[in-house]
Amino acid sequence: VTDGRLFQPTLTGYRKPAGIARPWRQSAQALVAFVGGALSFAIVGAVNAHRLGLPRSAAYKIVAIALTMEAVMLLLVLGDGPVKGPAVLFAGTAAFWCSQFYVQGTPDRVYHYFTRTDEPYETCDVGVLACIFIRPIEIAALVALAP
Amino acid sequence: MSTQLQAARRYIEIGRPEQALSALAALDADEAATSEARKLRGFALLGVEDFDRAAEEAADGLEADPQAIDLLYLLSVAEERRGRFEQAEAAILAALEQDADDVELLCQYADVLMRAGELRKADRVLAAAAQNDPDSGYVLAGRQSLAYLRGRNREARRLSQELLARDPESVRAHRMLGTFDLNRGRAASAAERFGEAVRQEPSVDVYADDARRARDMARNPLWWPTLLFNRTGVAGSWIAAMVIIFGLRAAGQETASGIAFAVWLLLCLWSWVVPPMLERRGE
Repeated sequence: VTDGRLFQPTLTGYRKPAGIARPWRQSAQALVAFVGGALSFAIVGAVNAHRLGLPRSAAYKIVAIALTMEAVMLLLVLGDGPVKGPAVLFAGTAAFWCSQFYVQGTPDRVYHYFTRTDEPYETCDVGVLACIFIRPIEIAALVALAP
Repeated sequence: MSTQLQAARRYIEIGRPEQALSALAALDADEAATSEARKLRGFALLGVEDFDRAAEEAADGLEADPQAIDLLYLLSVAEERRGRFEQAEAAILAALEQDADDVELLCQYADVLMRAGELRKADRVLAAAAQNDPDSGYVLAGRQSLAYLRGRNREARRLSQELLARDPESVRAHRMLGTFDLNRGRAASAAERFGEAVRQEPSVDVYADDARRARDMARNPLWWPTLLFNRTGVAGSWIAAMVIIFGLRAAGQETASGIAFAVWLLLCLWSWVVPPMLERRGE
């Protein structure tokens, strides 16, 4: 082996996944994005990043992406362009999912591959609550902003 | 080497760690404290998934012989399974300091790195191992795991089949192919794959749990909508839903488009709510 750097420690100060609770399935988070919208997705995605043991920057990335997408979707819905309603919802959800997969995809695979329990994931009850309580706030804001 | 030690070694080789521990329990105090006995006890404890005691055995053995490569390897594996990756890395690096070309040690280091999510460095370590022994089964198994973790499913599948070509009883390969089957909604085929893993290693509970779960999914109709959803995948089902719903709408079939949307939404909600309930019931 010629590369001496290969044997330099990499995991010093390694932060273990939080261990408070199991993370949520990626597909459940996609559904939260679809049913609950950007704010619900931002909350669930950020908490899940913590559960997977990712650094805070990952959670910030998810929140930033969600808020940006929310702004774009609002502009599309409220604007006079041809893209409206369901098309925005579908495209927005797909974009949320891609961004979340970009941030959490590999850590989720690593977690799932090495977890030796029958059911490694938690039921996304928080996602259901977020959909019930946060989506109406979003819709109310949308109605208030509509010309 | 005493008869008990020989028996314990043999039991570990054939995957009977409980019998190995019984054989080791019959040793007298002096013999039980030797490096060889500690090593065998440590590996047997790994086999029964008692990682805390396995790490203790390795650490005790290393007090007497800090350079023992086998014990450093054992300590690394035990610490890795306990989720103490920093300690696992320190132990395997101490072993590699003595023999930097040992393929098994390099692959163990790659495994620790993979578990900690350091996939790039794991790749470099596996490349170094492959330089030393391109035909090693350890390297092939490491590459299979790495390909899966990177989301390169096709490569992981190919490497699993390569593993099976070398060893038709490879538990690792059967489990990986079973996971792929399950992810693609082929529960019956997954149950067969996981069942093969159980036949090879009946003492590992998680293999039996996987097989039972896959069998339930194949037989219980409540799982079937989810399996259908899995078959197309998240992205695939999303695209298919968009094409159908908006295609029907563009063709002026507003009602059909609405029905398609409702069916798809129900399918999504079903796959969100029902599987966790079934899992809980299974527990």
